[in-house]
Amino acid sequence: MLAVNFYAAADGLNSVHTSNGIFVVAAGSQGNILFSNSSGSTWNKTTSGTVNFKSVFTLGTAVWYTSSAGKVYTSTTAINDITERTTGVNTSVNSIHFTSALNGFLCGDNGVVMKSDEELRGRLLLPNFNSEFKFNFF
Amino acid sequence: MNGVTVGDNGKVFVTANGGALWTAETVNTTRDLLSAKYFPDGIGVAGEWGVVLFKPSGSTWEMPDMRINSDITGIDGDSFNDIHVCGGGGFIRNNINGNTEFLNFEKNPMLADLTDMVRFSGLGFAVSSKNNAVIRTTNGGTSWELPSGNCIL
Repeated sequence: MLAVNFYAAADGLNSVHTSNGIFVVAAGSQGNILFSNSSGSTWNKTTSGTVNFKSVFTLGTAVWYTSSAGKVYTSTTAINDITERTTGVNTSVNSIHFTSALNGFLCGDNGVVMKSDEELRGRLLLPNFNSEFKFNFF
Repeated sequence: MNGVTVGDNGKVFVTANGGALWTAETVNTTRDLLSAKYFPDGIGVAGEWGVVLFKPSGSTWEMPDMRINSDITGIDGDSFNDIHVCGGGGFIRNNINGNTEFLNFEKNPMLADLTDMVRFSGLGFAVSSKNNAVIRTTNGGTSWELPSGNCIL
């Protein structure tokens, strides 16, 4: 188990999520990812470069991350297999939400709202709108 | 599938068909909105300057007076009777037991700006952009703790 400390002024966590109350994952600046397999009783820490993670979402054994540079990253709950995905946007992706393993949405700056169909290529832009988005589904 | 997305200048869009069509909602604020939650019984959104807005299913938008100017960055909970919000300064508040002004304050050990929060039954987790600690509640927010192994230096 690793202690969770302040590391530097630039460090910090921007998002936390759980879908079952047991596996919990948090992500933030400087590529920091914290995860727990014990409902938050103990935590592990890893990093993924210097990515500024804006949002994290987990469902089943999958984890999705978004970044300020328009990227989406995926991994399993083992968090040792983080893979970069291309979204086609360069601006910040602020939020991500999946309703099933293959059905998800993300949104971000400049009115970007995308659906996970066709590997995130189904880009939707809300009309006459330029904003930073965050969202949630039910 | 219902969804809600929020953005700058009080923008709120909702979908009732899994994102195929998004419809603008008119709300009584031009503040930047930072977080949204689609509850089983309606929509809740939160934003800068203490803005919280609710729209019960089949009803109109309501805007409680939160009596703060801090940004509200996280909103979560099980239903409109169990909404929890967090934000700048490290507060966590809820509307349990009909407290419509969210004057139930959840005691937590991390007085740093909270950026996000997630809840699952009685469990809850919250984080701050100021540090790498995760605080947790195991009793629905009655108390929050830094789990063993966490420390703030």
